[in-house]
Amino acid sequence: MTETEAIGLFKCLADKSRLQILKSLAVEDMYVERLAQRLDLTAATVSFHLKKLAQAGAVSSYKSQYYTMYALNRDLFDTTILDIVQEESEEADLQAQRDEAYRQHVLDSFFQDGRLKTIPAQRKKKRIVLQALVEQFEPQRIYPEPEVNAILARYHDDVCTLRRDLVGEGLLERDAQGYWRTQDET
Amino acid sequence: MNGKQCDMKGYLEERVAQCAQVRRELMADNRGDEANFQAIQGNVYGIFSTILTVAVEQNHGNDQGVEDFFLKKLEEIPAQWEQAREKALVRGDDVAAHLEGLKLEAAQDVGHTFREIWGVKG
Repeated sequence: MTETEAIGLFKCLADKSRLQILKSLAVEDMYVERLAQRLDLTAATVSFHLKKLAQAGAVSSYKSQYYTMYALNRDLFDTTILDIVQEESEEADLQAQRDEAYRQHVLDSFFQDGRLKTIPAQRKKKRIVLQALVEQFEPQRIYPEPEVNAILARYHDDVCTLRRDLVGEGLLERDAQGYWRTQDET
Repeated sequence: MNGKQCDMKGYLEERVAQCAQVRRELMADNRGDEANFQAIQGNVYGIFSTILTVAVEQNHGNDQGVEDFFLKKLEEIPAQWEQAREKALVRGDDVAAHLEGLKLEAAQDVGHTFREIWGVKG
């Protein structure tokens, strides 16, 4: 189900009369006049609601003798809300673009002439800066501490804080032999 | 306003108030679309209430003039809604067609009551 379809469905369901119609159809398939009589609504009003429910994919109709019968689309209601929430957002690309623009903005603010002006205090910004710094380390290579310090010193004098933060953020790992870049540094 | 005019005005204002009241009740009952139906029909009664006021103002002491003015508007205005309804049906927009149908229903009610109060045949 797309995001637009999910919004349409939720909007459609947020109405007591339509919910009553669906509850009736959950019991058995029905035609307009029967629903109208059962729910004390006019046939025109029931038709209106059924059109909206059909547009949202919640019900479907079929001919049976002289009647147009309406049935619940049970497949749709087997979908859980979690399924809907976990669908990839239609705005995923846009969100990625916004994230990238923000990342660039942070880097532009904190780096000047290739040097880190100051270590960001805000965690989100600091992580972006640290992610940029960890790019200076080759993957799958172990660096002794002096070499790590030398690399970080190219960007900021407080290499101890940077080194500690890189480890703290899980961007570098260390043991007695030295430091190395973690597999997943995103 | 004379007796007939007052009766008609009273009926229209009562319908406007009724629609507003039912709308509030439906809103409170989470029946938003049906509440909207009441708002739409209430607006129609409101439009004809205004038309009656204008008809009386423009035709002082001329009851036939009021009748002619009002009946003319009762023909002209719903004709636009009928057109909109037909267009909606052609493009398969049943929801929009239903909304136009509600306006026509209210206009029919106004026409019926007006003819009854005025004693107009047809």
